Amino acid sequence: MKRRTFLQRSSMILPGLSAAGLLGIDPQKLVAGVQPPDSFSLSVVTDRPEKAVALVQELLDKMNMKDKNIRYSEYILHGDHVADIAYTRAGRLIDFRKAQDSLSAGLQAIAARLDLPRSCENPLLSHFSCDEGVQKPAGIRIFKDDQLILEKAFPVYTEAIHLEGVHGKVVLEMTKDHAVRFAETSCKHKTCMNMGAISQAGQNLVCIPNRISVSVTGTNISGVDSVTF
Amino acid sequence: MKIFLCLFLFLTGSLCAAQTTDSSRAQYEVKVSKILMGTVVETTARYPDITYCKEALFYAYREMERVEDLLSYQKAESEISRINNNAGKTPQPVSAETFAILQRAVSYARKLNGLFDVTIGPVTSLWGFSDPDGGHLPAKADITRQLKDVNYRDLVLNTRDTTAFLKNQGMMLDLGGIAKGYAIDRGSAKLKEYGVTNFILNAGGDMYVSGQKDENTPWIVGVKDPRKGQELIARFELKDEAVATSGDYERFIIVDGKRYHHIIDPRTGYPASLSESATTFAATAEEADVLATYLFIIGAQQALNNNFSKPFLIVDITGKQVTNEAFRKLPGLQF
Repeated sequence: MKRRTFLQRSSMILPGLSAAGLLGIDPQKLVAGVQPPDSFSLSVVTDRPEKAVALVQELLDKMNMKDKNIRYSEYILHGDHVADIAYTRAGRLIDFRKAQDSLSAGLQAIAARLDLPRSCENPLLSHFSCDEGVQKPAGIRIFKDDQLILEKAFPVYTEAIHLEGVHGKVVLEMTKDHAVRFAETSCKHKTCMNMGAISQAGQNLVCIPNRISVSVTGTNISGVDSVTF
Repeated sequence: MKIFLCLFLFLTGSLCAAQTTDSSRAQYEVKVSKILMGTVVETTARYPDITYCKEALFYAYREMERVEDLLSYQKAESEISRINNNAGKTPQPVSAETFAILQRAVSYARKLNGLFDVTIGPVTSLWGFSDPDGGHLPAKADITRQLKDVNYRDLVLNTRDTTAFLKNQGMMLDLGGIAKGYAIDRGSAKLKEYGVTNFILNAGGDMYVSGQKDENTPWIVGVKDPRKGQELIARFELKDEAVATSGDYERFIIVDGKRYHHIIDPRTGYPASLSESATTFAATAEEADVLATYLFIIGAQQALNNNFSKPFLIVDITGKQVTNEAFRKLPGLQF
């Protein structure tokens, strides 16, 4: 298996570039002596993921982050997207181009280096998050063949999401009480339907025959790092 | 830009106090999941360098793919397929790696009185739970006939020329009960080789847990309730150990109101009927995988009677949770 093949078929990507020296501006100068926010998330959509990851990591490393755990995940997006950075702090979306905080300043430099915003095709979403508070599940992410195909907040009313899997129709049901389940599926065993509903951040449901998976976004409050079953 | 903002408004952060082995840098928790070996393989690894960690993960997943290619009877080019295709005909030379796995498989079979048996292939292929569209109730006469070809003693392993041979033409190897665990061990070894020592590698619920989440925080593992979807029936701390669960709820069919699942008792050719799930531990994921299947088949009462030495949690067929003293002594255990 070649790296590129792996990249296209999985939800992770393999950067091939060195992180060293990619950032023209020294982030230390932007953030020196400033405490980072307790709770933030960064989502970088880009077709230059190697460079983006290196830049963001360099920025975060230069901030006083050594006591924090920063979660990193990445997903391949399908189709045309606007490459840019989304920055949330304590659950609120921050316009980093106008904000005065240290992280925003660093992100402005990174956006300039990556030539953002701009249109791009089949980009990668690199997601960094750090949260000091327990939050409710926020929404769901739906993947097909390891590609992120839809991201949605939990609805006010119960809502059905119709998808086309490898073996035919798949219907996901999102409920107003922040749960999601496979309501219908074209696979034979219906294992995914039998798994019931999930409602905690970090939980996943998968229909392997149809190669469709759904995960609940937000902070994992179940208190476990992994589940044996 | 508006579309972009809508798309990512719901991405939120997550928490963990952390201390890194490299105290001067932030610790990143890198998560990867990929469908492999017919299941979802998810890895959570902690390391101060995302790029390096992802490279290690790439090679770990590649290693697991290699193991799958080597041991799957469903892949026409695998060494196991070659042994199966030459059953009753000629011994087949195999790699040292495959030979060693088969030796260990026979050793497990002897130790567990044949309740783990990699020659179960003729029966599992009848049930078809591993096929993409599989899973059906075979005729009793077919099971009786095929069961005659299930016997690990008829797998001949010749150490002089590392050949493997199934004595009878109808025999067939199915390493489904051991290959996933072995793949987890190989993937874990690859991560360690790269210096990534704090991780959980979980393949379809069987996992190896390495190191800690951080200097002061252990990894926490939960056990899924076999009948209540995503609810947990226990949680505990784990470090440098494997845990595996066999359950009747992952792959099954319902015929005339009766559940038929994929864990076949080699004595009867039918799904084992004493347990809903069995969880146990071992130094390797391979051994944990094998022992979980064994415990599932023998059931809670026999596991207690035999004084099974490793910690276990068995949910019996009535839904009762049975544990041994070793399980009840697990650090951080909560029900």
